[in-house]
Parts: sequence; structure tokens; C-alpha cells
Amino acid sequence: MSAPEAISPADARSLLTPPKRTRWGSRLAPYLFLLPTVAMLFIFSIVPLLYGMWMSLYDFDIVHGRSTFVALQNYWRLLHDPQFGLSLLNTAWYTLSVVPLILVASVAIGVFLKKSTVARLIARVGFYVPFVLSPVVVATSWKWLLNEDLGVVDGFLKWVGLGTIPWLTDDNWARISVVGATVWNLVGFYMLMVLAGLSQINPDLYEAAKIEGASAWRRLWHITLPLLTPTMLLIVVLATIHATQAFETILLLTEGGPAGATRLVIQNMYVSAFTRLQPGYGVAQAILMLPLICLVAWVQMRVFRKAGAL
Amino acid sequence: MKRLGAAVFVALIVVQMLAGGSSAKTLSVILLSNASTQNVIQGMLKEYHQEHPDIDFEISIIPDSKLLAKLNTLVTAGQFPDIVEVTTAKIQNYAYPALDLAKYTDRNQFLSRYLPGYQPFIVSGDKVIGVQIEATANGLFYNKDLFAKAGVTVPQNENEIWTWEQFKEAVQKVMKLPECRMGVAWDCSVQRFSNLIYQANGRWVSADGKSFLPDSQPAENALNFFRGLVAAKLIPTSSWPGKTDGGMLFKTGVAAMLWSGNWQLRGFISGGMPFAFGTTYFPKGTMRATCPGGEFLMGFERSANHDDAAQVLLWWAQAATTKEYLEKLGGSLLTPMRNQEINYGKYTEYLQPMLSDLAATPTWVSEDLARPVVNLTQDDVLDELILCATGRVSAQKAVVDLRNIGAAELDRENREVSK
Repeated sequence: MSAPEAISPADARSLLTPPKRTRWGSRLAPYLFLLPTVAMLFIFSIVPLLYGMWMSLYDFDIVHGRSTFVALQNYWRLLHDPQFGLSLLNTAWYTLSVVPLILVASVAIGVFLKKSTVARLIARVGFYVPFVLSPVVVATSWKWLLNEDLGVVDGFLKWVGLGTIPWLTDDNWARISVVGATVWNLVGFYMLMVLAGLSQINPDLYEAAKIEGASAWRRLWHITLPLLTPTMLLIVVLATIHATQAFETILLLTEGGPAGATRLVIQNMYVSAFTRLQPGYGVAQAILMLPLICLVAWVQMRVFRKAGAL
Repeated sequence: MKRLGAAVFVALIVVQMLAGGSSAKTLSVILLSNASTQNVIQGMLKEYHQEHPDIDFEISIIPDSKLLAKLNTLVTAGQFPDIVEVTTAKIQNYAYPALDLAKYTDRNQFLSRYLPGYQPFIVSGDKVIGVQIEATANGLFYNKDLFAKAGVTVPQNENEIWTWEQFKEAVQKVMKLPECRMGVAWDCSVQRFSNLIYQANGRWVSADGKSFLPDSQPAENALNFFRGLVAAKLIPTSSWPGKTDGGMLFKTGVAAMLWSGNWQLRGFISGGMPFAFGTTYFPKGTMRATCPGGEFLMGFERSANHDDAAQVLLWWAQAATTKEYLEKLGGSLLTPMRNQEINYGKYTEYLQPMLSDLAATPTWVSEDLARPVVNLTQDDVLDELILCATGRVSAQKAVVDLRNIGAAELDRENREVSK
């Protein structure tokens, strides 16, 4: 083994000094690297947002090709629109139901299916398949399964003597049905995230806890869940985004009904813009949702920061 | 070998350039996705191209539910398509930017080709805004097997037409059969409910276009009758408020009747039904009525090739073209034209009661249905109808709410017109 070569002070200085570049070049380089991303963000996010804000100040008459500046009238109208109020409540109810259910179900399924046995691998595929199905297939299948007159679910309930349930035709049951269909559709995706998170936990911790006599429940509570918190934060954020953007499945399953009971804000926007032909009013709803969603995201971050996940 | 390949390549390029040099105009066409009509319409346009090689078509096919979003985006961007297929509910929404066919032909002579009951859909003021390619009528289907088993006969001619109460009693009798699980599969839509409003001699919009539900009594009668059908479970909850397609429910063979329209016939007959079915007359309230409708082709004043589009539309408005189109469809859809003999073939027997209902329907029904406000408020109106049908608001309250919904839209419409 040869001794390391000595480096002269002059060589060391040259190694520590960054290579000389032209002044402008060195200053510009980071911005040039950022430029494509910033440009994309600007073109596809900032410009549409600003355009949307501008649109929300107008009353567009699409068919006559005219627009009238109405300042904040669209927002004022929103504050007095009972349908918008109902859709806002529906969205809050839907999000507050879907997000915790997805979190609990995906963690429970992930923990249960952690070990790679053949049966569990098959079960994983089973849970994941609904996520890759088209929303049209998901909604149509559930619509027929839950049909009150001809559906398999009510048929079975009747057969065992329990009577039928108006899954899609009663306000509360319809809300439960859309939440159920959404959780069924998405839980497989979040289960994979949980499995990825679980694979990052050092198995020695479980081994040590077992030797110390910790029960399975205590191992879950004191090892698995704390170490899974960053994954759970991600699930909460993504599921919230999913919930606030939910559209196709609900539209196809209940069309927002019965009588608006499952109509979320995003569907209300669509109806305003494309059925009632009032795009300015539709966009105003989207703009109004922006601070609300930011607030929810901020609260989530605060909660998780307090819990030490961030 | 290489030289030969190069020569073929050059020849292909030259041929392509020459073909491109023929400068055929390409008209953009948006058709509704409909398994039974879209291929026939495309075939007709190909035929036009053969007769007029300088005109070609670039066709996009989209579902009816996506049409408004697509069309509004194009209209807002100023990229008007040359020709669009639209339904009854939507044509009048685009009356303002529509291509006025009266500029290309004699207005009165053009309109005189069409039955009076269908003219209101294609007329807006002095403008002629489209061409009706097929006509539809709402109609009543029944399961022959179930009716025969229950010993109930349906009206066989105009003298035997049921009143609303007789209709209700007949369905109730059939529903007593254990194998009959649904009374009337009834599409959950404003248009399908509208039949009752008209049969009660009511209308959505006053003749002067200024008020919504101008006569409360007919509207209340219609709402109360309908609510009675839902309350007696004669209309299945999966129809109202479940919004399950009535045709699908009827096909199962456990529904006594279907309240829908003649467009169902093609699927029922070509697809085969596991039971014998027939059609009968709509029951009458104060009067007889059905909702006429159909599909239309229209162009836009500001489209790139609007003059050529007008020529295509006028070609389709010829009696011979309309007849050819309808007969290619097999005769399941009706002609909107006056004095036109169409061979409805195997559908003749089924269409007869619907044609009779149509003939008994006054022209103002089409004028009423063609009002843009009826289409623009349909989501809110349907929600209110559901609330009333399921007993959550009274018919009186529903009429008040519906008037408010309509008034808000009419106000907006009048503001836009006065600008």
C-alpha cells in the first residue's frame, strides 16, 4: 500500500476555488436551468389563473358573443346562491368523509398485506384493480349494483329479508354511496403508497420490540404508525386533492342528485359554465374555491408539523 | 434497386402534391355519437363529396353530453365549426351566431317544406337557423305479455284513449302481477315530464316569452298527477329520482310500460326483446299532446366556410335527401317534412300511435319547447321536479320555485337582448 501523495498548497487552493466563468454566465446559468419549468408553470398555471380571475369579473353571453364587466357581482351572487352553498357543504362533507376513510383503509390494508405470501399478492392486485378502471366503468357498475329495483345489492338484502335500501335515491344514502364508490376506487392506489412506506421501516425495530415483549398492537402503534407519518401526510394531501376534484364518477353515478344532494362545487361550476352558459359565474366559483383549498392545505401542514412529520 | 425506390418515392410525392393542388375545401363537421345515425350521416356526406369533389369533410364525433362544452369552447375562441349536429334542446341556444339559411334561399318556400309542428325549432325571428334531418316524438310502450296476463287492454284507436286516471288504474292492475316489478319506466328528464304539462294545457313560457309557468293550475295538476304516480310506486324510484335509463329498465321485461320516444324502436327491434311489446297513445289530461323533437344540422355565420356549409345544408333540406337519409336508417325515425311518404317498414305499426299523438299536438308546444330558457334551466328545473315528485315540496311550492328559476333566466335573457 503506497502512501498518499502530498498536495501542494497551491494545488489545494486551485482545487478549492471554483473554475473561473464569465460573470454573466455564472449568474445566468441557474436561471436558465429554471427557465423551462418556470415558463411551463407560467403558461399553464399562472396565465390561466389570471385569465380566470379576469373572466370572473365579466358576465359572458356566449351565444351573442358579448361580455359585460360586472366587477364583483358574480362573487356577490355566489354568496346568495343556495345551490352553491349546498354544493360547498357537499364538497366539505365528501372531503371530510373520503380522506379519513381512504387513510384508515389504505393503512389497514397495507399493514395486513405487508407480508408477501401468494394469497396476499393476489389480494393486493384485487385492491389495485379498481384504481386502473375507467371512472365510467366504475360508476356504471356501481349504478347497476346499487339500483333499487334491479340491483344485486338490494336483491341480496331482500333475499335475506332485510328489505331494500335507497342507495342512490335518498339524499343521505346517495352521499354514502358516492363516498363508498370513491373509496373503493382509490384505496388500491394509496395502499401501494403505504406498502412502499412500510418497506422503508427497519425490520430490526420490530425484532427488538418483539424481544422486549411488545404486542402486535403496540408495535403497530409505537413503530409502524409513527414511522409511516410522512407517507400518511402525503396520502392526506393527495386524497384531499382527489376529493376536491372528484367529478366523473359522481356525475355518472348520481348526476349530482337526488335534487343536488351529491352535487359538488366542481359539478356546480360545470353546470354554470356549460349548461346555463354562464362561464364567468362558473369561473368565479373556482376562484372562490382557491383560498378555501389553500386554507385546508395550510391547516394540514400545520397539523402534521405539530405531529413532527414535517 | 435504390434508383427504383427513389423514383417511386419521388412519384408518390408528386402525386401527393398534385392531389393537394386540387384544393378541395374541407368543412369541419361535428356529429353526435349515436350508433344508429352517425355512420349513415357520414355516408350521406361522402355522397355529397362524390357529387361535389371540391368539398370534403373533416368529421369529429362527440357524445351529446359533451357537445355544449365543446361548442362553447369553440365559439368563445372564435373557431366556429362549419356544420354541427344538435338536438332540439340546444339549437335555439345558438340562434344568434347561427348561419341564416334565409340568405341563401327563399325563406317561406324553405319553411313550407317542414311540418308546422317542427318549424319553431329552426326559426329565430326572420332567420332560418338549421335543417331538421329527422323528427322524433315521445311515446308510450307497453309489455304485451304482461298486459295480456293482467287482462288489461290498451287503447287501439283514438276513441279509446285513456284519461290520466284510466292510465293510472290500468298500470296499477298490471302491477298486481307478481312478475311485474315496475309500472312505468319513465326517463328522468324535464322533456319527458313536459308531456304532462302540455297535456294539462299548460306551458313553460308564456306566448310573449316574458313569464315562466304563466298558468299555475295546469302546472299544479301535472305535478300532482306525476307525484301520485311516484307515491303509488307506479314509477320506479330507479327512474325518478334514480335517473336510470327507461329503455334499459323496460328491456328487462319486468316493467309494464315505458314513457320514452320513437328513437327506442330501433334498439328494441334490431336488438331483439325477450317479450312482445307494442306502443299505444299517450293518455290525455285536458287535451292530447306529445313532445316533438329531433336532430338538426346547423352552420355558423362566422365559420371559415359558411357559404359552402350553407350549400350542404340546403342539399340536405331537399325532400329527396331527407327521404334517403330516413330510409337508410330503416324507418325508425320520423320525417319532419310535409307530404312526404316514408317507408317506415317494420316500424310502421309502432309509429302509428305516436304519429297520431303528434298530429293532435298544437304548434305552440314546439314553440314552447324551443325556448332557450327551457334548456338553460333544465338542471334546476329537474331538481325541483324531483323534490316535488318525492313529496318534499308541495306542487304549489314547486310552481313558485320553478317560476323563480325561470324568471331569473328570463331576466338575464331580456337584459342580453336589450343590449
